Amino acid sequence: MKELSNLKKIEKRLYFSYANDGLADIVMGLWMILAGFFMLIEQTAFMGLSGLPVLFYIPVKKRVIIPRMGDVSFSKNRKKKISSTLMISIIAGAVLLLFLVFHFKYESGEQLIRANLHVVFGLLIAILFSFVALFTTITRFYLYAILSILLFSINKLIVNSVPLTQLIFGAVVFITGIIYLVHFLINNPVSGGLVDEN
Amino acid sequence: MKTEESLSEKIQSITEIDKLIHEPARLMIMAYLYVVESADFLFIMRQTGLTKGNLSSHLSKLEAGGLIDIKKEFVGKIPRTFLSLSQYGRTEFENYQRQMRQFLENI
Repeated sequence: MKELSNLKKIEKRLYFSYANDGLADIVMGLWMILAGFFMLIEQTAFMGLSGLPVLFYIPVKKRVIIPRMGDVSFSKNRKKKISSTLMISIIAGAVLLLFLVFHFKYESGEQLIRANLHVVFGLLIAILFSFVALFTTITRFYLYAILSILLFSINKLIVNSVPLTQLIFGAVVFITGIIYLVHFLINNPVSGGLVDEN
Repeated sequence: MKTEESLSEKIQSITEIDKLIHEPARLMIMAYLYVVESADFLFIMRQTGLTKGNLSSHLSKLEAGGLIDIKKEFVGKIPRTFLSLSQYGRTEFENYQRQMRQFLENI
């Protein structure tokens, strides 16, 4: 009865189980890895390409996830939340991109380099991941946000390189995503005729 | 005396509860469908943990009672069954919730 009186919790749980397949982690992880890679090879002009994995999210969801767990259409409120997440992520991504391009463009002149620039960078990523966590209900994205701040804060003690820290962070997110995806695939096999039997 | 009678009436109202919804598996299906616009057969099966046959049988009863709408569609070459609560089902589910809450508050 308690659960019945709190239908929002049921909706949240359904959405969580729909989104918790590791794909979001893989996409975000790849995005971070590619961004780190382009920074590392100092090809900031290609930074826009780092967002390409996002384009694969829906096709992979349709081909790999939906045949295993089924499809669902959420309420208008939930859809609004999803579209605002996407919009905020895109805006945050664009800000991050501009920040990076600007930073690398003027790096030689040291116009924008400040002692705590790497922390600002970590914070920007943390904000992006927090938004994803807020609207997808996947709480581990908050952990990624904390990890981002931590890694970029102690960056100088570990590798002393923003691109390498970015690569490490992306790899952690990506590998976590792979683990969740494998777990999902094992627990939700496609068996013959299961797609529709009613 | 009057209070006792009214309390008794409130408790007796449990007999008017919709038994089609009251069955645990169907209640679970109704609750899931209430919070989404629509879901396919596989999704509800995964979430409820019911077997194909069991779910199918409960869905037929809910459909016969006019509580849910079942639509069969082809997504590409794959046939899919989409389930959603009918307007009547939505109202009945809300009534059921109210009646149960009222009953439980009074016992």
